[in-house]
Amino acid sequence: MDFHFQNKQITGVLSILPETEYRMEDEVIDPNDSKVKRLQKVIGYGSRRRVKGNTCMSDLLLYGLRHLISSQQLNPDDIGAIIVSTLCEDYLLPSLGCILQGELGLENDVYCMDTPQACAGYVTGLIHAFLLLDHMPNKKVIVCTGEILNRKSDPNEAKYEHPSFGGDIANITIVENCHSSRDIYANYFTDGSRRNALIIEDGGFRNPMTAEKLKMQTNNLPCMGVSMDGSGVFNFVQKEVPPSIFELSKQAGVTVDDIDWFLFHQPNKFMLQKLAGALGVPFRKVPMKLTETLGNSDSGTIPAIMTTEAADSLLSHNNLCCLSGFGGGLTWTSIIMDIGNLDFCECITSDL
Amino acid sequence: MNEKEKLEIIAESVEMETEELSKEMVLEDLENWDSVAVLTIIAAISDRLGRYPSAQDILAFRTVGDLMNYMD
Repeated sequence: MDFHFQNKQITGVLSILPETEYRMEDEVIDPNDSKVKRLQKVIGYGSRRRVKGNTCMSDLLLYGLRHLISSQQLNPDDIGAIIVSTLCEDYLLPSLGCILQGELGLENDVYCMDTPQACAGYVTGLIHAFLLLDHMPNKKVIVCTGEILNRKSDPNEAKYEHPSFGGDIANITIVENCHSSRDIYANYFTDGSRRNALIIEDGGFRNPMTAEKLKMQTNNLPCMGVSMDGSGVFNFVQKEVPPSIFELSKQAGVTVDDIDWFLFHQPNKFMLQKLAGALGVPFRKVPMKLTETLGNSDSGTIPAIMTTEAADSLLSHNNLCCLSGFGGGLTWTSIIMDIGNLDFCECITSDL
Repeated sequence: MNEKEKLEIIAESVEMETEELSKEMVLEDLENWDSVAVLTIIAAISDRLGRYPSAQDILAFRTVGDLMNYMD
């Protein structure tokens, strides 16, 4: 599906980090194992953050929202909608959006919607925000993303043969109406026939969670049992994402050379280098250090590169950006838009 | 791709020198023949030849020579 939006903008991005930092070496049985070393070189494993054993997504998000409200960067009366994209819901019911609305004491007509879209979640969250803004001229949409898939009841209880890809984080993005000279273009694709390439099999109604499965996950499969066909996902990204971005560029009336930043989901350094190569764009325009510093946090990666590697640029001047999320579904979705002169674009550390 | 280029791709994937490899060598016997090596091979084939083999496709080859024949 193709989208065309006018007079919408991102005005601020905040990342909220857990305070506990650890390194890849801390979670593997043998950090000197040659396979671990080879994986580290290709993937770019480094440091990560992990929430404490009882921290939930709503705790991180409320920490960030209260920070924005107390620092007068967000007036709660301006919030018209809350879109949340995470796999890490507090409960099966109610949704996180409703929890945030209740905890902040917002009006009952605030539209609250959770859209668990994994690695595509930030881009789909923004698309939802743009769609909603046509119906709320004087309000703002809050897009909340991130994951806490690295949470453990006891961080020392199990070590893995290979490091996990994950990293815990939450992000809040403010989206609002404006008078903009450049339109926003987006596209979205999904191929559910390839859904098994990236899957968490246990914990839903198809395969309910059992104590035995949970123990197996804790001991053997990091990140709550995310199972991935690595080469299948790699081929999917290389084959589908570049043509969809070229097509989107055409619709936007620009070329990839005109784009200042390619703010891509961050699966690993290897895949991002290959993606940059397929697009024919220089590495300097494609941030790819996140897996070394904060890990892959699914829906949390794109705003995390905005508040870290691209922050200075996004705060100081306008940038033509191409955002692209790709992963579980399998889904791939991109946006070309101006982002810049943000009111805030920062990363804060919580005590959670 | 010529023979030298094919051998270079395989050598790089398993962190060896091209001189250390021969067509008769069994891939599974190479110390670094692992998921990283397979992914590196897939990336090179998709980049150079526009084909997207799966890991199973690559793992089905027995020797260095078998894999080189596939890279035509």
